Order: sequence, then C-alpha cells, then structure tokens
Amino acid sequence: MRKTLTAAALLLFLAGLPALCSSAELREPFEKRLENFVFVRLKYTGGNWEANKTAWESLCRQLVAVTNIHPAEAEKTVDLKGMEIFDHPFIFLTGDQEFAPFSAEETETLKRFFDGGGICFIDDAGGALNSGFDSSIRREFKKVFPGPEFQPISKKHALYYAFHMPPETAGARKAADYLEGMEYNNQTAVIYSHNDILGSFLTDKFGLPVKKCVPGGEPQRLEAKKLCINILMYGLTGTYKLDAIHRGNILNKSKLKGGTEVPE
Amino acid sequence: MMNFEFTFWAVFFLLVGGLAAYTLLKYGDRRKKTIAALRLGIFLLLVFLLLKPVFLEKIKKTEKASVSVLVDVSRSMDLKGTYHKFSRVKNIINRELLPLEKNYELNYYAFSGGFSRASKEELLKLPAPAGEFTDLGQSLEQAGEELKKNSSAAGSAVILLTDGNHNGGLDPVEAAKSLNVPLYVIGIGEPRTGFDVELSRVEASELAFRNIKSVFKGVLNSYNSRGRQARVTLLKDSVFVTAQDVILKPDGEETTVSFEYLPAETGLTKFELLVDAGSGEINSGNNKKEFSVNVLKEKVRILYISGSPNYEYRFLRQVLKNNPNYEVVTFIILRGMTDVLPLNEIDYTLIPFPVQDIFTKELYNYDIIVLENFSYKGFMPPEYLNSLKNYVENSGGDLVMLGGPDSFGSGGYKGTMVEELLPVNIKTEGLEEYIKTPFQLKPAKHPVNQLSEIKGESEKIWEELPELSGLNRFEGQKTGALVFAEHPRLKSADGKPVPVIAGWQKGKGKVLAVGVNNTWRWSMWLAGTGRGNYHYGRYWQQMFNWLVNAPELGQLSASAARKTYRQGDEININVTVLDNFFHYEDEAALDLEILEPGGKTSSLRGLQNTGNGVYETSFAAETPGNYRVTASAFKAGKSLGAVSFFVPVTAATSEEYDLFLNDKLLKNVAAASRGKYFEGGCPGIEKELKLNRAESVSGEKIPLRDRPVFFILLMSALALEWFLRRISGLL
Repeated sequence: MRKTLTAAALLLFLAGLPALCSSAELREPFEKRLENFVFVRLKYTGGNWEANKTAWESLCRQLVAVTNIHPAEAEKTVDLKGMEIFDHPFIFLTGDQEFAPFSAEETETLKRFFDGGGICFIDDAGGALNSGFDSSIRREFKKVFPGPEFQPISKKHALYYAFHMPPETAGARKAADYLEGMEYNNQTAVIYSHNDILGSFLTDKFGLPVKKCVPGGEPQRLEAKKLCINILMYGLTGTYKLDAIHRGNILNKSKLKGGTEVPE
Repeated sequence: MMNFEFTFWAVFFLLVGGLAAYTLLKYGDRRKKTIAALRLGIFLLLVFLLLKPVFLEKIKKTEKASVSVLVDVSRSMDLKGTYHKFSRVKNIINRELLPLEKNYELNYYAFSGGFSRASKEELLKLPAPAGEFTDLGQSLEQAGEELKKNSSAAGSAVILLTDGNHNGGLDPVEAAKSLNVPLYVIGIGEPRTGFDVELSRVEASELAFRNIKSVFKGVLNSYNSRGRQARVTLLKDSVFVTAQDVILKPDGEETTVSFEYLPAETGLTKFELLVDAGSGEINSGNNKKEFSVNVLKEKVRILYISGSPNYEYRFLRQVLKNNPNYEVVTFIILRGMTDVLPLNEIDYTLIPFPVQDIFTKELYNYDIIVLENFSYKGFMPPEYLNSLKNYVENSGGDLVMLGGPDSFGSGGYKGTMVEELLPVNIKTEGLEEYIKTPFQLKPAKHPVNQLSEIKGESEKIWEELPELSGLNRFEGQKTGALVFAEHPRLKSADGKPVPVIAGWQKGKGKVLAVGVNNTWRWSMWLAGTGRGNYHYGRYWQQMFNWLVNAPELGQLSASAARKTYRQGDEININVTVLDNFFHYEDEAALDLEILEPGGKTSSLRGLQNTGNGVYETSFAAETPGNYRVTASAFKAGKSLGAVSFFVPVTAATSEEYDLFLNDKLLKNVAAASRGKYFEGGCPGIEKELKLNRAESVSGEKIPLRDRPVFFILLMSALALEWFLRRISGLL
C-alpha cells in the first residue's frame, strides 16, 4: 500500500504538477466554502455527449489548487428540456461525433440560456477540423443564432488573459491555432475549441495522462490546461482584465516575457 | 401661296373628268361641244371646291418677352444700413422696372424660404419682409420651372432683387447655371466695407459631466479687421465666467476661441458667448450666441472588490458596464492565500492587491465601493477599515456589502468600523449563520423593487423569480434602516422578519447591505421563462440609482420631442408620470410652467393623457433663446414631483442681423447664367433685355371654298348650260 502511494506521488511529481494534490489538503473542507462553480455538461441526443468523461476530476483538482474558484466536486448534467440549465451560467458541450438535431423546444431553451447571460464552452474531443461533431455544432448553433457566424477569437481577447498570461491555443490535439467564438449579449457567449482541451486533463487511476498530447507533448498539455483555466475564469469574471489597471500590469509582464501585447 | 388639303381625291376626279371631256369633245357637233365644254368647266370647278383650296399667309409677330422678377422678402431685407433694403427694392420696381412693362411682360415672384407668385402691387404694399430664410438656390430652381410652364425659355429673362444673404440648402450658382436664361441680379444693401466681427458659431457638446472639463469653442469671422483684437466673454446664466482676448485672423480665415469650463452643478445650463471688438464695428448684432449644455453627474466610479471569482460579479459587472454613466474598477481575489503557483509569477496576469493604497487614499476617488464576499482578514488590519467611516459619512461615498460565506460577520466585520456603517446588525464570526436553505425573497414596496411600470406586473415577476440559497442571516435592522427585501419566514429577535437587503443614509453617504450574492439567478431564470434579462438589469440599475440619488429614479420625466427648435416652430412636450411605486400614472393632473427667454411666464394646465403615463402638449416658440419648461404632476392634491428642462430655440438664421450685401455670391450667380450684376439699382437694364426680345412668324390658312365668287361662277355656268340646251331644243 505504502509503495503504491509513493509511486503515485512520484508520478504526479514527474508530471510537472506536484502542487495539485498537496494543495488540496491545505484547502478548507468543501462544505465550509461557497461553491461558486459547478462543472455542468450538456446532454444531447445521439453522439457522445460524455466525451472525456473523467476529465473533470483532474480539472477540479487543478482549479482548487491554483485558483480561488470553489467548485462543487460532483459533475452535473443538464439537458435542454427543462429549466435546470438556467441554474448554471457556464456549461460544457463536448463530443466527438455527429449528434441528432435539437428539437425546436431545445433550440429555444438554448437561445434563452444565452439571453439570460449564459456562456457555453464547446470542446471537440475528436481534435479535428470539419468533424461530424463540428458539422452538428454549426448546424445547431445556426438555428440558435441565425445571424452571427462563428469567428476566430483574437489572441488579445480577455479570456486569453483571464488568469494565465496568454497560453497557446492547444488541447490534446492542435487541430486549430485558434478558438472560435460567437458574440451575443455583450459577451463572447460561445467559445468553441477544436483541440480536445478536456482530453488533456484525462488521467488514469495513477494520475498519469491518458491521452498523449500531439504534436507538442507535455508542454502542449500544460498550455492546454492553462487555456482551460483561463476559459473558466472568463466564464466567472468576464472581461475585467480589460480594465486599465490590469492592462498596465499585463503589458509590463508581457514586456518582461519579450512581448508587447495586451488584452483589447 | 395656295394649297389643297384633299389631294388624293383630286387625282381621282381629274381622271374621271378628263375621260368624260375627251368623249364629249370627240363626238358631236359644235353646239354639243360647247355644252360639253361648259359641263367640263362646271365639273372642274366642283372638283376644285371639293379639294378645299386654302391660301397660306405668313404673319410676322413681335411678342413681349417674358421677364420674371424675383424679389427677396426675407427678414434681412428689412434691415437698414445707410438705406432700408426693402424700400430700395420698391424704388427699383417703381422707377426702373415699371418702364419695362411697355415692351416686356413682367411676372413678379416673392421668395424667402418659399417661392410664390405675387403681384407688383402686393410687393409695393408689403410693409416689412419677414421671411425666415433666403434660399436663393431653391428659388432660382422654382423660377426655372415656372418659366418652362408659362412660355418658352427663348425670349425670357430673370431679374433677381436680393441682398444675397443666402442661407438655404441648394447652391445658387449651380441653380443659376441650370436656369438657361440670363439672370440680371440687382444687389441690395451695402458691401462689407467697414470693420465687422461675426460670431459665426459655437461648438459645444450638448452634454457635459460635472467636475469634468468641457471645452466650448467660438468661431469668429472678421471683415476688414487688419489684425485687430476682440474680447470674447463666456457667461453662464448671464453671469461672467471668463474672457479671452484674441487677435483676429485676416478676412476669409476663421478665428477660434476655446474655453475650458468645469461644471460644478448638474442640470441644463445656459451659456452665452459675447464678442466685443471695440469701437468702429459697423454691425454688433452678430456678436452674440446663446447655447445650453446639459450637465450630468460625472461618471459614477465604482470600486468592486470580490473575494473570489463568481457569477454574481460577472452578471453585476455586465449591468454596470451597460450603463455609460458607470465606470467600474475591479479587484478579484483570483487565488487564495493557500493556493499554489506552479508556474512563475510572470506567467499569471495576477496583480498584487493594493490594499493600503485603496483603503487609505484611493477610495476617495470612487463614488461607490462594493465589497462582495470579501474578507479583509489576511489582507489588512481592521484599522484600515476606519477610513470607510470618513469616506461614507463625510465624503458622501456609498458602500455596498454583498453577501457570501466570507462577508458580514463571517468575514470578520463584527466590531469593525464597517459594522457601525451597516444598516443591519451582524454577528461575530463563527456565530453568524450562513443559511443554504433556499428561500423566496420578499420585496418591500419601494421604487427600487419595481420591475415594470405596468400595474401588477412587477409583483408577478417577483413571484416568478427563483429561490436564492446562501443567506448571511442578519440579527435585524438598525433604527432608520430601509428594508428593501426580507426573508419570508425567518424572524429577528424583535419579531420582525429577517432583513435580507437593507440600506440607509449614513451621514452624507449611503450604505447598502445585501445578504445574498447569487441574484444572477434572476437573470438566468427569467430568461428561461422567456422574459429575457431585462428585469435583472433593471433591478440593479435602480438600486445603484438609489445609491447615487440619480434623477432616473424620479417619478416624472419630461422632454421636448426635438433637441432644438427654430423660432416659429411648435414645441411638443412629452411628460411621463409614474406613481409612488413606479407604475404608469394616467390619472394625474399635469401643469406646465413656461419661462420664455425674455422673462415672460405662461402656464399650460391639464395636459392631455395619451396612456401609459404619458401626457402631451405643445406651444409656439415665438422668440429665440432658451425656454425653461417645468412640468409638475399632482394627484389628489399631493405632488408627484416636478421636473425642469430647457428647450433651446434658435433664431431662424442670420436674417436677424446680417445687413450686408453678399456681392461676391451675386456676381457669381449672374456670371453663371451669362447675365449681369447690378448694385443698388439697374440703370440700362432695358438695353440688356432687348437682346432677348423675340420675333415669331406664324402661317395663317385662308379657305377659298366659301368665297361667293365661286358660287356665282358655278351658278352662271349651270344657267348658261341650261340656256344653250333650251335654245338648241335639247330639253
């Protein structure tokens, strides 16, 4: 038993993120904290809505370790048939296959979700462009937003600066060097990754990564995790990093890193 | 010259007649041949008459050429320099145009902003021209259309009597070009030969913010100024503010004077710019301009400190950001004291939380400080909170504390200065209950809770709102506190319901305590029911309006239908009235007090209600300047409030003061039409017009058939033929 624990701790250390587990011991018990974030996955008909099913466990640990986000440990699932989705202003829509079209009622529910201020992060777990999942997403969001189209999100967008300095746009794959987004209700309401970002969090029971990050290996995984945390942070705090006081600080750090970019 | 109108038949009859004559003349004796010849003659005469013979006669005619006389009847023509402009026009009509009537057909037109036919007598009897504009371009265009309608352009001309004070839209030179008849322009007035400074315009934003510098610019045009100086003075409500001396730029160049002004009070404020160019100015009527600026409260600066990333912040920030009057600066504790940073500090966008600066100095730069689920412990000693007392009570700053497990008593504020400022009693850390049981918030009847103006609708929306969970349970409210919302079941020690949202006036500032921090659920849930997120935004806007005493929270709002009016226009006023709970009030009595620019006051009572709390009326803007309008609403003898605003009424144009002749423009107009420019009169104009007199030749047809000679000739031939046959025994 002792050998197993030692091996697990060693593996985590080697994974480059030794703080993830140890910090969890330092934090206060969950019940004393206000849970200000719930990982909510959107369930839909057909396809694989549970792609990267266990990614949340690892992501949750990371959030607790490095941020002041106090997440609920349990993952939650909502569908577009009832009102439960309106309890969660940030939802994940994941998959790697084509899925069945939303009914008119479901489309309306999703539209109302965005009306209320909701944000949806779509992650193509297939890690490819023009996938079956991609065509389903574009088809369904065209129904929700007949006007606007998905547009590449600028690297100067506030979400790239929400917590980490701008990470690379990557996941377990690197199909696209950009995130796509859709503006609605004065915010980027839909964030769409083609790179299987959640796939970079998948670990086995020993804490070892399940999916290999291609082509960049572990440095790419780190970038993917940083980007994911930034996206979540954006979902909770919006664009306040665009405020002058923060932009000045970011510019200073950017200069130290050899860059000149600031969020816009 | 003779002509036939029936030529086709002529050929036919001649053929038939010829054949008959040949037969008769060939066969028979001498007498028969004579009779045949007579018959042939009769036949040919009949054929001739049947062919409708006519004589064509050419007649030469010399027509009176048509001359349109366009007379400027704008107000500037009523001004007097060395002579009265319109009197000069009358003299020209009587002495110089009247003799033209012998040879020309003179059609008179009056123009200013419009264009209409007028008789010479009407123009001569006109006591004072009063048109608001001089639209030369439009008038010339209409004159062209009239010429096309009434006669051919050939042999026509237009005489234009004006001072050239064009202030219309269409370019007169272009209009003159397309007229296609010569324009004889008679300039009335004196060219600008003396020294004059004109304050052409004022450039000032209609809106300004209190305590934020505004810039007003006056633009001057000077004539014959030769480097002279002028003093430009800014007045506010007729009281001197500041003045500047400027050296006037040469003719044709604009001189701009800028004034920086720091408004100290809100509301619509009347300003004047005056130019004093000293003695020798030939016209001082163009040295003044009035303008008004609506001074708004400066942007409300909000410092928002959040103890953790959370949805309440994101949603509330969105609401505040949507209001252009708010500026939000945020600090969020993105990582806790125990969180680790696996990467270098430089890899995060985190900045140190400048606690000392904020709580000792910077807080005075903000109007509202929001502490949301933020515990000061771990960041600063409680003494830093002492400055909040001065900030609220003496500086008039507002403090908002939003709930959460790290707020109020749970955030360690018991026993600090913040506790003293709060309108509710809190418990010591560890003893304060943080209740997670969901509950339906019970709103008090107060305008900030009004989510719709439609009666009954707001209550319905409150009932639809989702339950909230996570309550900082207060001990109760303090004396003087205003409870905006309370718990539906929990009671305080005094038996009153536990307050959840409460506020009060504390010294000069206000303090608001909100025992929850998940009101974002209202936005999401109401959107889920199809109502969108309007009501959530409205709630928080109203709450912040209450904090800063914003005028938007008043029960009366009134405005004119347009931002500015011109003299002579009808000013339309709309007043919206809400009752004490912000429902539309359609049964109020509405009065309007009008203070005219000259100081005259008038009242309009009992404005007409058009539904949805809107009352309408209108009145005429007779004089230029700012009209101060005050709307007051009453119901059952009680006042529902009053609201005042200015309606700027501009003098129509430069017609009021520009007595000079724009000879440059008029010369260009005349040249563009290949006409001629005269100044002050038109001696020798007939010489010019003669060139355009027209001769016309017309052909007249005189019928021959109905002349008696042909009838007599025909009857004589028939009688002779009868007689010959009788004496020959052929009858």
